[in-house]
Amino acid sequence: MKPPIRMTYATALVLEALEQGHAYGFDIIDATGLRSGTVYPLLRRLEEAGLVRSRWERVADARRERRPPRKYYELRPAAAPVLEVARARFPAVAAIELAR
Amino acid sequence: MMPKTTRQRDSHRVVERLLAVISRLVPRALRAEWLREWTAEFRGGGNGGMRFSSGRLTGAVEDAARIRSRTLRREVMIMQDIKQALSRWRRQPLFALVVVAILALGLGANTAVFALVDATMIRPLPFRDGEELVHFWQLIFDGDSLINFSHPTFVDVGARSRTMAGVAAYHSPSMTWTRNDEARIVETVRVSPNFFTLLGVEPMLGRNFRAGDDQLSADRVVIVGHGFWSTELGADPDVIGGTLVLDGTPYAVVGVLPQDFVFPRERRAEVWRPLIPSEREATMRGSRWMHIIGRLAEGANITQAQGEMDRIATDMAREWPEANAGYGLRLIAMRDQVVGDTGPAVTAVYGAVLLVLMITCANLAHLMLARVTGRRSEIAVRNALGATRGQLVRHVLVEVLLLFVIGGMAGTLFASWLLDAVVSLIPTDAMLQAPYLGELAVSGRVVAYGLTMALVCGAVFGLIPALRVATSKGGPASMSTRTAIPRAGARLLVASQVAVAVTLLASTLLLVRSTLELLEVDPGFDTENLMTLRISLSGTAYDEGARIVAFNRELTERVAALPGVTGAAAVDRIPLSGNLVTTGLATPAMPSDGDRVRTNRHVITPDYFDVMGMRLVTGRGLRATDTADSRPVTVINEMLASALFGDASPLERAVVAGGALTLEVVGVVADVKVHTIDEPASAALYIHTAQFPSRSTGLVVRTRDDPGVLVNAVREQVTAIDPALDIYEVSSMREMIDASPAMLTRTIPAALLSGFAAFATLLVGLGLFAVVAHDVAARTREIGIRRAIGALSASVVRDVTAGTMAVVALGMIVGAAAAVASARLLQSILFGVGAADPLALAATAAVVLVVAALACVVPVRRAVNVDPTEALRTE
Repeated sequence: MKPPIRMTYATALVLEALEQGHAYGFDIIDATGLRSGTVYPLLRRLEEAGLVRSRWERVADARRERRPPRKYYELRPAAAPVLEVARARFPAVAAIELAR
Repeated sequence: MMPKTTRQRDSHRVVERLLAVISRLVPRALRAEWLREWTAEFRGGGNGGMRFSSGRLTGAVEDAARIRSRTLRREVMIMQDIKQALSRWRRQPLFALVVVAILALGLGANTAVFALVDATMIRPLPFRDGEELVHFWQLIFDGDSLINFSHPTFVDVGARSRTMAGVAAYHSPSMTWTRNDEARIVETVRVSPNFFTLLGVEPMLGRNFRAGDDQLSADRVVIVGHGFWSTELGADPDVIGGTLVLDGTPYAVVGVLPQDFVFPRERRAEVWRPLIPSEREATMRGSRWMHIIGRLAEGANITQAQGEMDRIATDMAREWPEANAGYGLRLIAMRDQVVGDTGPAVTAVYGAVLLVLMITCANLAHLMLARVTGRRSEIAVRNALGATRGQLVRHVLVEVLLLFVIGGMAGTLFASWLLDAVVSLIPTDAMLQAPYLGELAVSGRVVAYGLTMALVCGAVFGLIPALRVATSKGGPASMSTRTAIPRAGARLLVASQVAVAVTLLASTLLLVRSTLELLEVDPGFDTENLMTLRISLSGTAYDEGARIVAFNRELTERVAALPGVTGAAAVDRIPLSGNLVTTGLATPAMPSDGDRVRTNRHVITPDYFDVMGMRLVTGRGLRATDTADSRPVTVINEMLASALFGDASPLERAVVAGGALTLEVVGVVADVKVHTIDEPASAALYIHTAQFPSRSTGLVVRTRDDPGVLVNAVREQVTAIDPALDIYEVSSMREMIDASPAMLTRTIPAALLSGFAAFATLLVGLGLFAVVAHDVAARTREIGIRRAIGALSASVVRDVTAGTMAVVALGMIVGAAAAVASARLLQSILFGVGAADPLALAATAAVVLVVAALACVVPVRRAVNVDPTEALRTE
């Protein structure tokens, strides 16, 4: 299967991070060690390709932690086969337990 | 989320300012969301803490710059797509011209009909809170006839109603305006003093009418319309206080109405004056001559108001049974009153034009699909050079949308021309009957509709060729002619086009047949070479009945003596003019509070029946010896005779009109249509002008040739008797019938639908041609092989056309069912034909089959002439 987005190591890392539950930009940066200048454009491209969807956090939840609501990203069902391709191409990514 | 320390507060401020500056890189549409996301990230430390680093700030800059460049790149690429499309059209102008022309016709017709929908159903009435306005009518007997009001009833309704904020009355007699010894008829409207206030209209000069202006002792005043003030009074700003002499009485001008004011039911009104009822008008409950309008009270709706009117009608019938028993009150929203019964016709025409637009777009999508397939090599090269599927889809879609937008703009111009052409064809009298026709225009709302439809249709139908590029297996390079246009899809498209064309054709033929049936209707009198006109016997000179009788006698004698005239007679109301007087008729034996026969009353001179060509069934007509001193007599029609007397002879029997007037029946005439040409004849009573003189005077003149050439000669005879008089509403009977609402509600939709049906049929022909031609092209090798092994031409023809004719047959069956269903919607305007008229359906089928056969001629000939050797070599 040809993925709808160019599969690079960084893309595979971000997909893996999302799969492991890292849901917002800075969290993915911290988990993967990638630069913010890499992570955010990737998130945009993944969203345009229909592999990822974003949503805003509930205001009440953010208020509890006394901060503004974040934008969360999560994998769409269409990303599952793409993630498999990523893991097959970059087996090291699959083996990584990303930082928390 | 208050920061704990001042330092934290300052940090927040700095970060927010930095992000605000960086966000300027992001396109405005995305900026707010981008800023919110990054702010939340930087301030995501919780409890007011920050997660700031210079690296992440740099990342924000990169992210913003990347979003900007992608947006810019998209915009630049869209501009490039547009330039390339224009360049392709310059090289192949015919394709673009054909597509734009077809779109202009389809979108333009759609836009023009929407203008009609806008004028009749959407545009607000030109009054303050127009939706609160209602028109009153009195219902009689079985509840089908709506008639006017008497003045006492108007006063009662106004006094008793709680659901009305106010009621006003109007009545429109013509008057003679005399200036410098010259006389002309002016259209005046008598109105209650609160009429303009009720509508929310204030004069632009002078004052409004006020309470007291309607008293017999009040000074005579008028408010003039803007058009009259401009053309007849020189737009004199000092006109207030000037005088108009109407019917010999001076009226002071107290106001001038605004330029944009028009009361739709009195579009011809030039001068407005207070309705000052005479003693007779103020007391006669049975004399119904005026109209009433009202404005709903705050919080009331028309249903509540109708309920109240039903109660008021019941009370009035109990209090004044002779005048009000059997009468109800009906309210109609002013919009519905103005638009009338056009709803079904307008909806039908809009539905038709929408269908035409859909098949136009489907046809064009098919055409563009073929064009995209023809460009497959170019598209493959683009793909190889790195263009993604999304970019290729956008590339195709941009060209399609551009065509649709240009087609939409051209369509708007076409719509404007089409509306002007349609309005210019509508007779003036019809324009007065249907005032909304004067409002037809391509307004801002109509233009917005047209362009929106262009964009929506372009987006929807443009997806067909665009998605072909996106979904071809193996990529755009693999598109081949064989798989480029799915056969099933193309055939379904053609079948649906055939169905739509059949529906339109059949509906058109039904309307055309209705029109032809109407033209064949015999109204009961001879309509050829018959001039009709009206004369306003205004002024005090005609207060005496004897003067009116003398005028009628002298005029009919003078006109009958004119060369080219075979007869002339006077009648108070011209038949089929929509202007009638009705009265309740009974015999002396019937109970005084019982049912009466609703009868049209005509006041005539003795020659009337001869001039009109009406047949005398029994007895005699009215004679010169029937005078004011002899016993009152009448001639009734067959319908009235049957209703009152059954099979017994009505001759020398008495009838009672209006509960008060006893007449002896001296003759019976055949029934004639006097109301409208598409309704049955009704009961009629004819009385002698010498016995019952009427100031409302009309003349019917039978001529040997075209009555139009004698108009001036007739006018001269009128002015020879009285220079202060003039004639108006001059028309031949034939013109009057052709311009009547009964005809126009059929002829106009028929004309429009026939245009749409012709266009739809043409598109069907083009669509069929494309499908068959493509089939032949795709099967050239197969046909070549079959010819090589000895297949006959007939066999090839059968094979090539079988599938297509099956599609046509399917479309015809579906279309016939849809035609019958849609004809039921048109039922109210069909005349003399049923919804499933076999002749209309058969003619439709014949037309479609002929078009289908013609569409197949060229491709079939090509198939028959396939050279087997060439076919096999080429493939």
